[in-house]
Amino acid sequence: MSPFQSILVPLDGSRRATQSLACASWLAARLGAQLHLLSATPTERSTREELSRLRVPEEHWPRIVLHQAVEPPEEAILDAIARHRVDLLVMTALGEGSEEPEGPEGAKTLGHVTRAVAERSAVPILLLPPGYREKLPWERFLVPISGEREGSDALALAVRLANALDLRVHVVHVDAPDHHDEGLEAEARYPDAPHHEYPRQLEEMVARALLHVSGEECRCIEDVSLAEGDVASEVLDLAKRKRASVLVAGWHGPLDVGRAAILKRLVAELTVPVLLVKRSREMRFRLVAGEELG
Amino acid sequence: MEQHDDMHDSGFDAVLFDLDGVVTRTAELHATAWTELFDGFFEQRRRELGESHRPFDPATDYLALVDGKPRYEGVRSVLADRGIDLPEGDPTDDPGRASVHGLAARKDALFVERLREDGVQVFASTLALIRDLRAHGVKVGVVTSSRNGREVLRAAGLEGCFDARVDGLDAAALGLAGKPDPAPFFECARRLGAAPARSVVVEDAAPGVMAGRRGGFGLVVGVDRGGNREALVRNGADAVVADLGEVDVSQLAERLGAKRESVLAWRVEQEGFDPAREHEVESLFTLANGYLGVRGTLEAPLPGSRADLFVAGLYDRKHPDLPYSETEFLTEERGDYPYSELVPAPFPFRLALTVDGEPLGLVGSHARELRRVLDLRRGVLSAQIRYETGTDVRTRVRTWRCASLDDLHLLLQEVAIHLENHSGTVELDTALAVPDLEARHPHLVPLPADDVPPGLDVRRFRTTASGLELCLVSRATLVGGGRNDVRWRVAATIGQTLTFRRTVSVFTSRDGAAPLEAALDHALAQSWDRFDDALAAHVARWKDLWERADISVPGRPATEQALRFHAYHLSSAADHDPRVSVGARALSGRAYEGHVFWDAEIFMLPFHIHTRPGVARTMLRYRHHTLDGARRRARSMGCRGACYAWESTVTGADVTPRTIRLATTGAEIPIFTGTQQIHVTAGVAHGIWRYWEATRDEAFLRDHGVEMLIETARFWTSRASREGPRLHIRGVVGPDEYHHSVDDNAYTNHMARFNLERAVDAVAWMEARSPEAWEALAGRLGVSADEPHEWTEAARDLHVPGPNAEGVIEQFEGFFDLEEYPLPSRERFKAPVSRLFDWKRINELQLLKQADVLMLFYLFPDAFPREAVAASYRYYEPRTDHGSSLSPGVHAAVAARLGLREDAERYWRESLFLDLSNRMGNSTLGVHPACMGATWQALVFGFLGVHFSDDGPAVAQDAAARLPERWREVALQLLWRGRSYPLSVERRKPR
Repeated sequence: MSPFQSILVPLDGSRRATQSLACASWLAARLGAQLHLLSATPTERSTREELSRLRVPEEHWPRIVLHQAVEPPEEAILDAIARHRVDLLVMTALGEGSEEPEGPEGAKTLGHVTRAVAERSAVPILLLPPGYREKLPWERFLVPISGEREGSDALALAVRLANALDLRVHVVHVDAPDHHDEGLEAEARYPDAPHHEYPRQLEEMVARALLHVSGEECRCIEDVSLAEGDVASEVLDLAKRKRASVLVAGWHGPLDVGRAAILKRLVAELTVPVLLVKRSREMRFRLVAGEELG
Repeated sequence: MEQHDDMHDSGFDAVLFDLDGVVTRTAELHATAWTELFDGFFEQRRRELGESHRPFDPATDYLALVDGKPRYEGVRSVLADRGIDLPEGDPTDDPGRASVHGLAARKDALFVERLREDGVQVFASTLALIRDLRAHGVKVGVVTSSRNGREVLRAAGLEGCFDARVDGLDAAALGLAGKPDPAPFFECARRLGAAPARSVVVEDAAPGVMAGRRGGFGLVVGVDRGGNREALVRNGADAVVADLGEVDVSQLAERLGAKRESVLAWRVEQEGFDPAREHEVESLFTLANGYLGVRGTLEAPLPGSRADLFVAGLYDRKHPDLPYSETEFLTEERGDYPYSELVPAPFPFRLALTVDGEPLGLVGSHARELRRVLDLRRGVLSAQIRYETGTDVRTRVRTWRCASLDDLHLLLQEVAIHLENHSGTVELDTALAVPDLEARHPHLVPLPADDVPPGLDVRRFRTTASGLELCLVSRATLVGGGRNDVRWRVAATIGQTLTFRRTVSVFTSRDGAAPLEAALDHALAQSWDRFDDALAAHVARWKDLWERADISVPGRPATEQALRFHAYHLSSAADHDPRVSVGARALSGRAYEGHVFWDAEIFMLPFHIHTRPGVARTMLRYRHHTLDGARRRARSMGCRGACYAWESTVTGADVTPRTIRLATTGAEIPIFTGTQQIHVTAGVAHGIWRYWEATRDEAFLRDHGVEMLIETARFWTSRASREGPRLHIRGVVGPDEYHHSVDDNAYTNHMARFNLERAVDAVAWMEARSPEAWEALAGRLGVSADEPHEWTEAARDLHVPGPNAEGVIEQFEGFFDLEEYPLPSRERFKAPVSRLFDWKRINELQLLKQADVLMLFYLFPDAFPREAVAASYRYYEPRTDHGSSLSPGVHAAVAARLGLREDAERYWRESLFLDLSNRMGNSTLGVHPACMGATWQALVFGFLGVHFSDDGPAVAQDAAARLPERWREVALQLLWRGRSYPLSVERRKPR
């Protein structure tokens, strides 16, 4: 079954935003998903008028359900996600008004609407980076994992989507020397060392992440590789070398200054979309022991 | 300030308030809006369709049908109650539309109208409590299903009163399910940085109370404004008050603390699901009774689940594809020996459940809520999973299961399927068919089972090399259905709960010649009328056990919980079959192939000696049962007497692998322990003597113990080599496995001397006490009158390294000359596995895997001068990377005796939480019972400094000063020579 049934593309008439339409339209067609277009506009127009204004090519019109909203863009997008049971949002990292980026850290890669929606919404977001170059159809997902829950969720989604689209999946784990955690108590510690030293331990990490995915579905995983060094640099390098079509990345949630630095750098430098999979609030794992109990 | 600290000692992080009816008096506004809505709607139905409906009652209908729910849920409830079917619509429906969402929008509009016209009143007592909480530093949040939550707060002037708010709009934006789902409370707790178990939920509606309960919040307080008390209690309120003026901050803290100690500290609870943690949880939640162990796998196992049953003693030839101690480590077959590896057998609690054809389980995307609880007090594992199939079609599945401690061949299981808001067809398949048997359980081949009575599911297997037979007979019934069957298809109506019960009977050919017949007889002898009695008998056994094994640490629920978790696994790993002992991972996982190590006597045995001496006796009888194997082993080494195998299973033959091969690269590491770690033999002698001293079990010593002491003493006299006046033991591996082929390992030699001396003592005792029996034994073993003298001389001449000028005992000859290795802090407690591959280099360094010399102080606390203990601790502690789970407990014990409280606590907590925190990253392959035993000993003999005399056990005089910093008291019982002695230590209040 397709993981996405309802895809939403917010458009503001900018060239950047229109880029996302071709990608979303291709994806919706492959998945048989409903494609919703949201235009945040102060003026209500006919569908034809609005689609023309948004520079939507006519060949996409039959698949599209157009919604027009007068609220501030982020509220309109969040409202549409809830209203139309959207399970994938496709949007550009920068929208209208971000053509000349400046401002605080991260603003060069993520516009304020994108950032606000990403932080407040729970659905996965296919983010087209500023340097996006369209290349369809997709062939391969690259999924970085760390042993943490968000990476596992991202990998599980990537595998399901890859099966639906008949793609390959390449998994990578990067050993970042400064990421070793010490002094935890009563929380699971996933010592990276064995994963770095033994390929099968890495496979074990993948197997654990995909415990609830059948062996048949896992066949789309073509390789699991290990890299050492700076996480963003290694992922960028691998994305290029493996000709990844999409980077599927788990992410803990916040994007404010000083947070998600790796993600921001990836978005800034990649030319392929990033499928952001936010840590699920549903079924969040807790073991009531140790410090959790007091 | 003092009160504040006390509160945090009790884990009081936050209080989460419902809004309507708890903080604000908006319940009346809501009730009015609901009444106006349905008055209008029913009137419209009367006019247009001629229907007549009972008017909405703002008192009874409000509480029963809509209170605390998201409004569209409330609309659904009222419509269902009145038998009205309306289209669902969607959230964009305008208030005029006759749909669920249309009516919800209309109610919202009516409420806002009332809000604007009437304003909001606030409960003054609640506001006072909120202010008091904040003054005490407790965080305060508000959680409401209302989309108007922020507007209500604004209207009431309460915006600044809360540290976090989650309202209906937040929930919609985040895609959170509404109450009774705990998601909004979780979100609020997350925003407050508060742990749910340390937080309080205050609610006035049943769904909110249920959400607090389901979320595992530390305390759920119900506020009954009238007529709702029973519903609040029924749905999980820990306490119900008529008004929050009845409680203050200290009372909340007290109640929360009491609940945590009385309830939460007796269970291990999992909330939610993380596939990456599942193998670990399967180990932690293992149910066992000494005869068998079943991993805590979900009833509907996932494709990657390690769904195993282990039966003690059911071994087969080593399968080369199964892991050794880590998934990456493979070991070769042990020749033709057919008992090398504990057989992972098929999971006996397997179920397949569908509702209207939709499979329920964690594989699909239907699961919305999961909670599993290991009830340590009763030895029962329960689970509750809520599923949504289709749009808002809700089914709740509750299960519990246990491995009977009363009837070791019996497993009990119950499954209750509740169709919350729909009718449908439930299908349950209880067949124990294993997909992919050959890959998952490669030791087993299925056998046919003929002439099986109808309604039973029978599985027979035979091990490929050892030829042992395993039979499982599953028998299931639908409660009230009156028959047994394997597969069920039942039409259920909305709100109905179907309850199935199952027994599984487990027998092997080790139990008798006809295991199938035994299993069938056993299954057919079970009566559904006595199902509850069977559970009660099991629980009674656990109760009996806890009366002797529980340790109370008032005010420290997490410590109590972890200690109970340890006692649970230690106790459930062993029973009364002297043909088996307890493996390194007990019956909870595949690691170490089910092999029995020195762990059993040195680390686990003391716990049993002082709680269940009968079990300790059985564990030692296992060593007697395998004595012939130990004799053969000694002969193969060119020695006399008996040398126990470093790793053994059922015959005493050594099953230690000679090499470990990396699964992916094929690289091999030689393993020296099997041939050189001979101290296990003296460890058995140490266990025998410890048991004897604690029990004065003369029959055991006479019939089993003396023989083992003689044979092990003989081994040492022949293994040691005389060089001049001294005897030396060369070419060994001590407890520290980083160094092989060493000479005169201090621990080994000291233990060998102990063994020799105790053999002399034992013979003297038997000669005097049972001369006839001694004559017979001496004749059978060929013990001459001179032989005990030889042991005495050997003990005297054996070189046993003592403290040097600095007071440090050298670990083995030449250790001090080895190269220093500055051990980086990041390598402590998680040594890189590559260290094993650098074995040649490591052998040349002053780097220890685990306590070695310190083991002597651990086992013989009074045998060395304090200066030597302190100097050796200071020397070896910084050189140890704790690559073994056994090491932190030993360090904790020694540090505690030295008064190094910070070190002692740090090491003890490493040991205490090793499995619960998966601190070594390898609990996925089973729990660590020896580490648990080490933790117990570190507390009893380290912190408390318990010593024994003819008057019984007594704690050290300075025990109160040694207690971990935040403990105020500890109490336990120890068995000593047939009597139970209560011991307690209370911290003296500072003057």
